[in-house]
Amino acid sequence: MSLDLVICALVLVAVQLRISANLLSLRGRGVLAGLVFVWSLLPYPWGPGAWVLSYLAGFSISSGLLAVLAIQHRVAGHYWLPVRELRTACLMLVLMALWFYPMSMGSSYADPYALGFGHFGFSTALLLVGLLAWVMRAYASCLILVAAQCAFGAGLLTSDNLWDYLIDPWLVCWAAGWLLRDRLLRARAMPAPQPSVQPSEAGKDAGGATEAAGQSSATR
Amino acid sequence: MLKRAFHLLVGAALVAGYFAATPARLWQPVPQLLAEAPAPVPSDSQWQTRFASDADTRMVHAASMLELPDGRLRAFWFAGTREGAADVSINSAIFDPATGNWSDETVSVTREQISRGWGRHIRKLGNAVPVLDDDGHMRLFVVAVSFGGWAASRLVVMESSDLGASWDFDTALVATPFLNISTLVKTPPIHYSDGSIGLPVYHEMIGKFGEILRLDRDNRILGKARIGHGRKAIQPLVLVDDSNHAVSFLRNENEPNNGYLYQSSSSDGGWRWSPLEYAPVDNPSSAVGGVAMGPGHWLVATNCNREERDDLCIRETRDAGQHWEDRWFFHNREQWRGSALKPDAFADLIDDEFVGEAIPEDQRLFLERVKANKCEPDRGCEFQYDYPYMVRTRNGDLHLLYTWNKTAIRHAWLKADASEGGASQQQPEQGAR
Repeated sequence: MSLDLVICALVLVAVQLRISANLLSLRGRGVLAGLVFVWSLLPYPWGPGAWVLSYLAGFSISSGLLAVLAIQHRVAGHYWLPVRELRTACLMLVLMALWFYPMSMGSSYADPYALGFGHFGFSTALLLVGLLAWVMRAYASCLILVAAQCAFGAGLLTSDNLWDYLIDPWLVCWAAGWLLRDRLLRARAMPAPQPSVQPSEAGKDAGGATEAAGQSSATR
Repeated sequence: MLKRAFHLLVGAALVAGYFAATPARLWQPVPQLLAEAPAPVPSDSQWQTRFASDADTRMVHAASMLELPDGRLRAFWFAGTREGAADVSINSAIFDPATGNWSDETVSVTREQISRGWGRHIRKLGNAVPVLDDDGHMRLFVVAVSFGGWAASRLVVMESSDLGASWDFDTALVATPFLNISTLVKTPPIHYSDGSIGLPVYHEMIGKFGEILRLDRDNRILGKARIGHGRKAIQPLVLVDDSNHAVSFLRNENEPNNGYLYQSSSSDGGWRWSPLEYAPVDNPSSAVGGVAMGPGHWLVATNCNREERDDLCIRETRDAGQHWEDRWFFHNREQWRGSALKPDAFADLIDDEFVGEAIPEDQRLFLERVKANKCEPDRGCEFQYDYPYMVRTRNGDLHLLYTWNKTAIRHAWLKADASEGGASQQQPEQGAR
């Protein structure tokens, strides 16, 4: 059984738990999650994991860790990732994807994907990004980065490319969806402008509401 | 205190992650290209031609081959009812130069076999390219598609420890970040001094371009280089001149097409390639094959016109592409181009191509298949000779395989020494049309 398949099973369980969040009791969801996990690990053609991988290729280590966090959130009701950090990470991910995927698939001669097969510059750039996150106390981002790098070093996924350990298109889709939802929730939580309130005070109120909304969006 | 310790621990982990993500090979010197020793082009020019396939299936296409340690050739092609059909398999046969005969065609790899080994759904198979390592270990790179068309292709690697008699699935190559799709093979690999190979591949999705994947013996991708600065150039044929210099010819996929091949070159062992430029070689956007006979001395097998695949020739340059000459013509059906031939007239012309030669199956069935593949009610019948694949064996012989009217794989053989053998020897014309 490959790690690709295990990560795929975790992602499928996270999706199942999200879909069944309002449909089943916690116990029912737990039993169903166990069944989905085991079923997903079954080999081709019996398990859905093999079919998902046939069409979508593989998921990254980051997706696997986020799936674990999502499962933990659904089961325990507590979200471990700080929302502000998650928001920044999602934004960076989506912006990077807008540059990375078109270039890698041939929109230009430069090929950032080729760096992932082993390149001093790329490793150094990741170290700098990690150090920036470390200085900002964004430990979750640091640990996900380190986990992906160590998994790459050990060759745990089918891919030989570090990019495939860090990101995948479905992670980018999820991040874009999360940002969109976050934006909508923040807009909804924004109080209507009051003519009597000074602009600076309004901004302060909005900021507080925003953070509350973001927190609520992540923990729902 | 605990927070500070955690903070420092995460910092240390980042440094550890840096080293984990930096492969040890980056500290080692870059390997050099391995060029074949220069050799003269055989002077007697007596090509022998024969069929390599048995016509067991209605359609065959995209042949490839390599030389076995004992001097025989093993060839591969895909075969089935039609291109992209679910019943397409990778078939193989062995050519023995001592007897001048091809063995019976056998099924080497099926999509079910890859599905079982990989544990993934496979919808269809395509081109296959073999590699023989120094230890006798053989690899076959196969285009496999799980969904959609050729733009959704992936590469899987089959391995054989008995010189291609049986195959086991080894791995799938992850060559693109988006669903790992749009990577195909067609042309022979190149070799590096450290035992790794460079596999020329191409993409057919957002951009159409060529690349070289550098692979070690365990099929791990060590690096990737994009060929040329264009977006409509595929199926790179890479010819190695020396340890640093190589040239690549690519099929021009622009529409409308001006009818010339693309060319790019590298002077650093294939890591960086010059911008694409037109090579002064006519080509109707079809695949090319070829070999390097020495630095700047190249033979390129191609369709030698700008419109159709109804001829096939080998062109030669001795000055790194400054001047080209038509060296041999194997087919030339220009005079029937666009004439909407009737099936019976077409069959008569086809019949003339193998006078005195054994036809793979019963002649009536064979001709019916050719007509079924190449005749359409509204357009009439058309000739098609394409997808050449060329190798130079250790003794200096030249071998060419190509798709013959989508119905058979044809083999042309030019011996380095005196010409011998029992197959037809007269056909290719020397020089220009």
